[in-house]
Amino acid sequence: MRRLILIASGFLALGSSASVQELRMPQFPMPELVTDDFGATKQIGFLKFLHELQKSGVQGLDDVEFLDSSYAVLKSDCLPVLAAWLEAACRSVGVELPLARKGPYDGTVFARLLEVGASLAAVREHGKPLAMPIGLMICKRQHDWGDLGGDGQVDAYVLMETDRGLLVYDPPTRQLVELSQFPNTVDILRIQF
Amino acid sequence: MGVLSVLLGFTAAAPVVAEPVERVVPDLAALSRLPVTVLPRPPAWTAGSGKPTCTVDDIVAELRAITPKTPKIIHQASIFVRPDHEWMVAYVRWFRKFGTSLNLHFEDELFDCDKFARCFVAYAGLIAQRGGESGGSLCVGWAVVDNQRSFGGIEAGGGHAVVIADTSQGLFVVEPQTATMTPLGDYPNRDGLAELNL
Repeated sequence: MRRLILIASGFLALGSSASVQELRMPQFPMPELVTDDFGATKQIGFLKFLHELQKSGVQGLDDVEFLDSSYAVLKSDCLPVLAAWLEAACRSVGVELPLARKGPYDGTVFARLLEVGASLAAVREHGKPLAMPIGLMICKRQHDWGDLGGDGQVDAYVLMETDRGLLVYDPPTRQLVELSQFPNTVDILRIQF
Repeated sequence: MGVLSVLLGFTAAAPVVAEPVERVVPDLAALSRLPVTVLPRPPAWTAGSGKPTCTVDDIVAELRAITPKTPKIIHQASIFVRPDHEWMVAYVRWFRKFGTSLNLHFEDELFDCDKFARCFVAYAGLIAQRGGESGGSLCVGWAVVDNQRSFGGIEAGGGHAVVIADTSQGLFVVEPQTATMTPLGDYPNRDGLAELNL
């Protein structure tokens, strides 16, 4: 009960932020990173990344872009808290993420926000020279994926490297799938990390 | 047996069963334990009010008037809203305060030039959403550039990421690490723009 009240009051505080004109949002949680047997943070270089994309069925590697050379790997267990942060951050500016597709929707905003938030947390917490493996994927929706119909529209999703492999995440619908199982892999237009 | 299975496969009409879709359940309890970050008050965005919109073709035409080497444009949205120039100037100032409040500083790989540029673009989009903008995506993107000449306090050399904003007064470049803003026509590396991500 106490926890529920705390959660509710937290949302009230965030929700009222628009009236005081400040941007108030929960501090970005440091994503849990995969470590090796010796406790060192697992790293993945962009060449291995490329190989994984290829294994997952991505064909046009010319449209894949890496701006860093070494990336950490996320524990997939931390996705629920990352999703909660993204929804709360959006709510703090008056955007209800689950309803975002009802208006003009630009998924790149949310993918970037998640990536930037994770990077800010990493700077705060550990400062290791590893980029966060949260990227942007733009593709044509040629085939149905859950709530998202195969209507040929261009859409953007979050793509993450995790201990489960590469995962595709759609923030408004909260849908998650392994890239290898994503129905529109053939129609990917751009991947950017 | 294998042949039989194949034959059966062709004769029996398989019922169409929708694959179950996995969904992330947000962890609200973990979220409630996080402290709240208070960021400086951003410049107010006024939605609509006759804000000019543009398409990718419009942006390409503007770029062509400035540089013969038009960058590749990567985008999901098709309609973009040009921010008022005054708002953009105020936002650049705000971004500097934002960076100071979060102790934002360059860290190789972890928070380097592209993170600065993406951060600048992400929060600009968020503030426009906060202002209720529904006319289109904000015409502020980040660009990859061949950094042949120094600009905005950043030394020349290698690839670099900056911000390109198409404001009510035309195209501008912003160096987000130092909050330097100048018309794109005056940007010394304008012919080295490789791609623009809107």
